[in-house]
Amino acid sequence: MRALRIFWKDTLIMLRDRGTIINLFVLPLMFSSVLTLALGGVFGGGNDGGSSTIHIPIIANGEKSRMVMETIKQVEGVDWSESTLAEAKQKVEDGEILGAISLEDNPEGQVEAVYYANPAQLANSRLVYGQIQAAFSAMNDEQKNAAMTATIQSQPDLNLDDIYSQAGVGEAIGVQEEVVGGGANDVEPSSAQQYFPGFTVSFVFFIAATIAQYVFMEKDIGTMKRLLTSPTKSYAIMLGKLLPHFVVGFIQVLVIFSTGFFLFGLRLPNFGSILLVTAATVTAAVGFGLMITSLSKTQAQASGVATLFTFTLATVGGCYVPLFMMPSFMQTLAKATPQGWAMTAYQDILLKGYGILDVLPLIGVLLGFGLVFYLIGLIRFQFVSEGAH
Amino acid sequence: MSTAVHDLMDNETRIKPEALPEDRPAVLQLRGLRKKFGGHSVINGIDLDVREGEFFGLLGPNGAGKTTTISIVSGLLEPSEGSVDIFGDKMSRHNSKLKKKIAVVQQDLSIYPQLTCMENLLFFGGMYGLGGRKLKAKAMEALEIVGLSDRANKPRAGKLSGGQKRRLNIAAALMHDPKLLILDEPTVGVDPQSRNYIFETLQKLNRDGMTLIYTSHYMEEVEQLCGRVGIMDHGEIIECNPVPTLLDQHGQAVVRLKIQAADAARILEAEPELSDSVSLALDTEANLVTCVAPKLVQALNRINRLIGDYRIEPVNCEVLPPSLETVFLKLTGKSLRD
Repeated sequence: MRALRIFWKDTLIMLRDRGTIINLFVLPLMFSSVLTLALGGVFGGGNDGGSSTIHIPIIANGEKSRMVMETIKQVEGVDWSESTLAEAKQKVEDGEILGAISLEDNPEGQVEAVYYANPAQLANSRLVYGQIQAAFSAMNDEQKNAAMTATIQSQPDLNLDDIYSQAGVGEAIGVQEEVVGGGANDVEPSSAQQYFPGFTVSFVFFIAATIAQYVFMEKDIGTMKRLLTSPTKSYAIMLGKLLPHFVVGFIQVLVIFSTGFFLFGLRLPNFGSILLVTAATVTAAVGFGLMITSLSKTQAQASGVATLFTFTLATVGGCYVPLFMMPSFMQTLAKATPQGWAMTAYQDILLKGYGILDVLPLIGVLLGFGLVFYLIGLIRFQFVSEGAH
Repeated sequence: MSTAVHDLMDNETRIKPEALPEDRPAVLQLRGLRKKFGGHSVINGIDLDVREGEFFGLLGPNGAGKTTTISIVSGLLEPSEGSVDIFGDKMSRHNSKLKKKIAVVQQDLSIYPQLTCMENLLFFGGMYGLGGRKLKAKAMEALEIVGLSDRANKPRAGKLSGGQKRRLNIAAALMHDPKLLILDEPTVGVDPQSRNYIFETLQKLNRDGMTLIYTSHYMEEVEQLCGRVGIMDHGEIIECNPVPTLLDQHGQAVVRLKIQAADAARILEAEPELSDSVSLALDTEANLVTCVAPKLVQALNRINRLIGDYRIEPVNCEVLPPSLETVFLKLTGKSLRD
C-alpha cells in the first residue's frame, strides 16, 4: 500500500515534469518519425511491401528460353534486366537485389528455369517468385491449348488420352527456387521497422537517467530521510520508486509503436509477443537504471553515465543501424548488450512474424541481464550516504 | 547589540521556558553512544536523558555531532556502540512501531516542491499508515497548526516563501501525532515573522504535552524555547543543564569597546599585557578592547576605568549580558556561528 502511495506520488511529480515527458516520449517519437521519413529509401522494403521498383535480372540461354523470357518480361511492376548468371547470383548473394531468374534450353528441348531468391528479403522475393510462376503457368496453358487444338484438327478420331499424349500435355516447364547467400536470418527491415523499435529500445533504457534523477532528487531534498524515519520499509520505498518507471516503459513502447502503426504503416503481428518482449526489456532497463544509480554518487554523475551507456549500447545493439550491416565483431559485441537482444526480439516479431515461443529464449536473455543489474543495484544501493551527518 | 538579542529583549510577552522536575520519566535515553565513520570518530560517548514533556535544546558548532546524534536517535543510522532507548524501547532502523511515535524535522526542506501542501501532507500521512477521511482531516489540522490552511491546494510547495516551506516541513512531521518531535535547525533561512510563528507553534505543542528536542545555531532561539540545554562539541555533550543554571555557572558578560587607533597604540605602549582579574583583551588590528567578566557590572566598571585612565574617546560600545552565547564561548572557546 505504501509502495503504491510512493508510486502515485512519483507519477504525479513525473507528469508535472515537462523535461521528463520530452525526454521519454517526445524525443523518441520525433527521432523515429523523422528518420523513418528521411531514410525510407535507404532501407529495404521490409516485409510490408514497398512501392519502389523491383529490379530482377533475367538470364536466357537458348531460343526457347528467350521466348519464355519475353513472356516473363510482361509481368508488371518489375524492372526486368538482362545480365550474366554469375553477376546476377553475386548481386543476390550480396543482398543488393530481391532475386534473379535463369532460363536455359536443355538437350531435350525443354526450358530449365531457376529462381535465385535473396534470403534477407525472402517474403518480397517470394512474391516475385509467385508472379514468375503464374506467368509460367499461363504460358504453359497457352502452349497446351494450342498443341491440343492442332492435334484435334489433324487427327479428329483420337481419344482424349492420345490427344494429351500427342499434344505433349504433362511436360510443362516449371520454376525451381534456390535460396542463395548465407544470411538467412538477416532480414532487411524497412526504415519504420528499424527506427520505431530502435528508438523505442534506446529510449526505454533512457529510463535509467530518469530513475537516477528521481532517486537523487529524493536524497537531495531530504525526503528520503523523512521516508526512512517513517515506519515505511526500505523495500516498499524501493518498489514504489521503481514501479512508475515500469509503467512509463510500457507506455513508451505502446505510444511509439502505435505511432508507427497508425502513421507509418508499421505492422504489429503477434501483439502478445510484443508485450512479453516489452515486459522483459522494461525489466532489464529499470534494473539498468537501479544499477547506474547505485553506483553513482551524485545525480549529475548518474545522468552522465546513464546517457553515455544508453546511447552507446543502443548503437552497438543495432538500434540505429541494422545489425547485419555491421562488421561481424560488432554483431558479436551486440550480443553483450541488452539493447541488442531487445532489438533482435522486436525485429524477429515485426519482420519474421515470430510468436511467443520463438522469442522466449530472447526474453530469457533479457531477464538474465535484468537479474544481474538488480543484484548489483540492490547490493550497492545506499538509501542514505555514509559519512558524517 | 545584535538584532537577535534585541528581539529577545523586546519581546517581554513570550513565555519563559522552565526545566521540568527530574521525576518525570525519560522519553529518550542515550547510553554510551558512539559513532565512527571509517576510522573517524564522530560521536564519542554520549549519555543523555530527555524527560517526558521537556523542550530540550542541543547546541553545538558545525561538526559537533548534533545531526549524527539525531540521525541515530531517529533510526537513520545505527550506532557503533551504545544504545538508544525511546519510550523504553530500543531504537533501530527496523523498529517501525517506535518510528510511529516520533517525528523528525530535518535540516533540509524535506517536502516535494512539485506537490501542493495538501498533496505533501496526504503523502507523508500515508507513510504512517493514515488513510481516508482521517488522513484528510489530519492534513487540514496540521495546516491550521502551522498557519497554512489557506495554501492547502495552491500554490505548489516550491512556490511558497522560505518561511512557509519551513512551516510545511513541520506540518508534515505532525501528521501522525508524534509523542517526540525532533527538530534539526528548523528555522534556517526563515524570516522573523515565520520564525515567531514557528516558535509559537512549537511552544503550544510542548504545552499540549509533546516532548521536543531542538537543535540550532541560534542560541537566542534555544534560550527562548528550551528549558534545558545540552552543549555539544567534538562529539560529546560537555555541559547539560537548565538555562538559568548554565548562565549562573558559566555565563559571562561581554563589553566590546571600539577605540581610535592612536588610543589603542597608547594602551599597548603602557600595558603590553593588558589583563587583570577580569579578562581584558586588546585587538590592535581592529582597535577593539574586549572585556569579559562573570557579571555585567564588573565588565562595565573595568572598561570605564580604562576610558578614564587613558582619556579615551570611544568610537562605539557593544554590551552583551550573560547569555547562552557567552556560555558557549566560555565552554568551547569559540563562537557558535563560526
